[in-house]
Amino acid sequence: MTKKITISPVTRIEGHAKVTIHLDDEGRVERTYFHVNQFRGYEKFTEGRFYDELPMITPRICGICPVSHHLAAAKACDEILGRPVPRTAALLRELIHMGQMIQSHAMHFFELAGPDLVLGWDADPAVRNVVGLVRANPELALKAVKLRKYGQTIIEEVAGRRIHPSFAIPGGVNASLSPGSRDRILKQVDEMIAYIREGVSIILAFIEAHKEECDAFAAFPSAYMGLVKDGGALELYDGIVRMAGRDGRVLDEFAGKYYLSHIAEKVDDWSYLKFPYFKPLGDPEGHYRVGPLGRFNASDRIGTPLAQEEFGKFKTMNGGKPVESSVYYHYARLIEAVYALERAREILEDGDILSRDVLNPGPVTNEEGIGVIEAPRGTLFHHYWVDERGTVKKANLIVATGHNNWAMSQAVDNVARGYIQGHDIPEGVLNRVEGAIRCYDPCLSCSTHAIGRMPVVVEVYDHEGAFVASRERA
Amino acid sequence: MKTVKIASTWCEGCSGCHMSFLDMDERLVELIGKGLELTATPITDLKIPPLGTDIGIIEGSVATDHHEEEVKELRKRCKLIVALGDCAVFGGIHTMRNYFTVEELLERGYVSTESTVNGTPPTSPELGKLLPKVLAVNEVVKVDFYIPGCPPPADAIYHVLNELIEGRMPKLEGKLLHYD
Amino acid sequence: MDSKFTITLNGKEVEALPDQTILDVARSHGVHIPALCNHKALVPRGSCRLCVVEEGGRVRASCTTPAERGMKIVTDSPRLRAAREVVLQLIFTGRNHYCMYCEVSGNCELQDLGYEFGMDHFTFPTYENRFPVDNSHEFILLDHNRCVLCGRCIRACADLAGHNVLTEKSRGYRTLIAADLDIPLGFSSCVSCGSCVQVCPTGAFIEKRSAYQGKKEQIKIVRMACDMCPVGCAVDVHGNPETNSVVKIHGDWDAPPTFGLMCRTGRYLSLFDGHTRLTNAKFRQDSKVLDIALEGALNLFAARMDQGTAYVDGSLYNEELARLKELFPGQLFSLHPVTPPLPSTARIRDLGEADLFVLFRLDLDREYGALGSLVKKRVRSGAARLVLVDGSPEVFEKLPAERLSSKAFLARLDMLEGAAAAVALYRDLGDKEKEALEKREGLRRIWLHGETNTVGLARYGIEHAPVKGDTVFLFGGNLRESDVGNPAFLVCFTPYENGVTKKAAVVVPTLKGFEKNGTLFNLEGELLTRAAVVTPPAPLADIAKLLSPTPEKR
Repeated sequence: MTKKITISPVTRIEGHAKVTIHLDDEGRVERTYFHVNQFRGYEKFTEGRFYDELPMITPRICGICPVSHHLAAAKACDEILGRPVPRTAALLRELIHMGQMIQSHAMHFFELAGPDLVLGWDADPAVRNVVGLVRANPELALKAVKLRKYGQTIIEEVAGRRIHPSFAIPGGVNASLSPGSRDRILKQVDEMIAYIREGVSIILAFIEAHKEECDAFAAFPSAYMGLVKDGGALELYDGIVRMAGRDGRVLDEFAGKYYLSHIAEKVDDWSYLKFPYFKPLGDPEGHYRVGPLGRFNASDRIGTPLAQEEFGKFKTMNGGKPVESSVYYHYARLIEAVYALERAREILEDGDILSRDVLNPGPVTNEEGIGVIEAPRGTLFHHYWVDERGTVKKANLIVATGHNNWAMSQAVDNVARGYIQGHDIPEGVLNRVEGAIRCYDPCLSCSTHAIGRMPVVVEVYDHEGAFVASRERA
Repeated sequence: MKTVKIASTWCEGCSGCHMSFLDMDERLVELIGKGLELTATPITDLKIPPLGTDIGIIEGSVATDHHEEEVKELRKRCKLIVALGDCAVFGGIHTMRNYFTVEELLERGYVSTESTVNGTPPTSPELGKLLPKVLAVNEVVKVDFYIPGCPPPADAIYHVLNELIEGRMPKLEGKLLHYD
Repeated sequence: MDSKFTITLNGKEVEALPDQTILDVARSHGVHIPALCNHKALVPRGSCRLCVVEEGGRVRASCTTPAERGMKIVTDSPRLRAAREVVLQLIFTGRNHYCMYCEVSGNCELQDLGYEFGMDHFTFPTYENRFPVDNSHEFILLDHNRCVLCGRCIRACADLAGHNVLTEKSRGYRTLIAADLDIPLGFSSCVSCGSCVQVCPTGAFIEKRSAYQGKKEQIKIVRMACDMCPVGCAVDVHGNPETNSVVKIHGDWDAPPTFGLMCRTGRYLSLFDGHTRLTNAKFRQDSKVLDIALEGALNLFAARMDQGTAYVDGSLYNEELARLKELFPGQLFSLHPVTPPLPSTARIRDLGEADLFVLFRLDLDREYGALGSLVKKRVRSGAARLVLVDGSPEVFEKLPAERLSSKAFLARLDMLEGAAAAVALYRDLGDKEKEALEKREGLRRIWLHGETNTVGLARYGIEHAPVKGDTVFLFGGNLRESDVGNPAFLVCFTPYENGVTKKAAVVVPTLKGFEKNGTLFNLEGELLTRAAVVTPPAPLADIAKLLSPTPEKR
């Protein structure tokens, strides 16, 4: 008899996913599937709209990282417009991008992944969530709230509102920064860096306490991709794409607009999310990881001092080789949050930051535009084709988490095989399977530009595939 | 202290409304102090709300057969259903796919996109089947209260929850009511 | 003939005037009735049915029902609320409204009604039918998904602007606004006056050049006159101080001379600056051009000021002309003629009373467009005939007109006798034409000069003279190579780089358009005001304060 374990929905992630684990008669894992159960159709339904609406339409792909889409769309639209964006506008866009990094990474670490790391994988599901965290460690929870609020406030102060702002438009941005806003944001940088460092201690302590388990947890080789600039420094806003191999050496570097020559997407029947891979290596060799761990493995350094200190430590975690265990995503994520805070400060102290020269509008001059940016979860590509008047003819989007699809499937498989022995499966084990996914902080609404259906159900089928019995978990 | 149990789910949304919920910042902690209890939500680990849950909050429009089931299940288990955000309230931005056939949408997503190689639309029974038309929640189940917005402001969410916790029926007006 | 009378409004007796609708009366007494298709500059149509009131037991549209003595009107009741709510639901659900990404969200009359009614969900199905998006026009985007069929655009295009491009096609919920005989707007007879966009209550009509460039709370509106041509339409300039830019320009419905009418030039071309803007002063020696400090350039100019003659074009404001007169007594001339072939004897408002128009070699769709609207409206109404002298066949091609060569016109001067209120419009006139017009005393004339402030030049006594001499100083934004030969020492004060500045020994960058405060005269001799709404991109010369004793660099 084979058994199918279904975890649905996967919680404490963004979007819709379910996991099915197929066991053989001995209770060993035969096959796992990470099903992404969401499809919206942005690549089709934007056809026929005027291109300048895309920076407002595409953020609705995701409510956690709308700024990433807003900016990637604006960058693609800049190319269609064909006019240079004033320096201050680029700085302001990067500033809200940093705000989003801070907000998203902090929220993920403390509120989504945090409950496992602070309360434990096996804690009672009823308290294993942000509310439980609030009750168990109110001080920490409050800091988490403040961190997220700070990142959101940067976006609000600069762009007018926290979620789905109307700010970046073709040719620049539609507002400038007031001295009051700048000072308010600057004032809190140090406090926030201190909070993130508390998070760093938590993850390092967790890793320390479970070193063997962590190093083996969803650890597997892959390639790694991220934006870099200045010869290998990690870059989140505007750079060139670097693909590094499993041994950490650079395989290729290319300007984002050539992505089609380097990246292809495969479709599998059991997921709405496609599987990107690096074309020169093909499928499956060419699968790579993005997001904090991917970016860290692909780059040589990070551009701000405190972050660089931790970055250096990170790079030693696997003896100088690329760090492969998925748990280290949490560490890299926090280091990136430190970078984002330091970079935000740099931007705010720039002499041009208060300038009102932020907009360079005009008529459409090009019929294609590609915008590339590093979203919190990975590299984001927006590609639009328009007619001579700027009406959208076609759109192609490869969204951050999509690049990690293969990796998440691997992670789930890895953890399922590692922890599931026999037909008696404690709840904590199922949570670890979900935890493997959570390392990637997936944004599944994003990646499928297209209460669960069921609770966890264990279904038993006989060898002819006929249903025998089922058991539900509340 | 009387607790008010809430459950939530997101259907065809972007999670922005849940993020706006978190944008209540410290006020969320205040509401928890007043008796707000989160049961099954996307950010907690309970997968299914208990029967008799006080408030069921739905973000997102109904776009697949899975969503339809989910929404009906929540209606059964919750005394009050609140539609949160333009997608749940009006149908929202994902209704832009209603002007295309499901075949056209899947074809573009999985076959003709320039980066896709040898693709065909996924057919696994584990995945939700796309409904021909994306629907607002009130086209599937009865909704007791609506909070429009894309996303609704955190102030509106706070106002509604606070009123409900204190036993009053909320009313949205002025800055708390907007469609964008 | 009835004079004032009273009606009862919500139980109170109020005064009403003849020719007032119930809606007019209510508004004049501060009683609110929701409405959508109504617009103060347009004839009421009664399309939306939101303004319903109860009168004599019936529910009636207050915008199209004349107030009558003794009427008893109720403007708010459960029955009316229920009716209005259904109407609003039908309007919303009949099309596809997505406030979340629409450019006018926060500034939309349909949305405001939703908020006013506390609408927080739909009661009818929607988002089922796709409506077209017409992006064929250079400046205007027409998204039929956001149209509420109020018909304001049709009324504005026909009744206000006289162009008669827009109409409706099809029926019922499938009705669509159409241009001409249903061709894309960009290929139609639309002349881009923009009246449709300005009256549209939703985001159906959107100006592409202005979209998303500032939210309502960021925009500052400053009233002034347009300076693109001598008509001098009163405009509301919408600027965003945060981006230091002009977002869009709207007409002012209440202000003369054209009461909200505008044209392609004033509304759109004023925003598209195709010229290369000068932000650095330049000094040319031999074939080398150097960027120099503004102070340095002004010193070079001041040192040679007494040795040369100054010439201005008609783009300068009065204050600039006054200052130059002080600096160049007796040595200040106009680059272009300031005297008319025949002086004007009419004002713009006289166009509204004409019974015959004679246009000499003018295409009033391409220039002086607001006047074109006034002429077209009058001709369409049947009240005036139109004669186009030496006009090419496409000019005003939809209007009934007699198209005559100059010779043919001169042979038909009798037509002028039959008209009690004929108006002739011209820029230049042949000698025989001049004679013919001069002879007719009753004939009104309007001279349309090429530059904006030509009347200012005349008022300041600055006469036209051809450029001569070795040391020449040019001032203005319309400098043309054909105006200037090759003087040994040429100084240009201008905002733009062009063939003239390339010849100059010293180029001084100046303020332009939206950066200048000042006054000018329109073709009627009315004094118009301009206000600065943006600050210049660099330190630039302000001609009005040139070499002032108290240095005030802008």
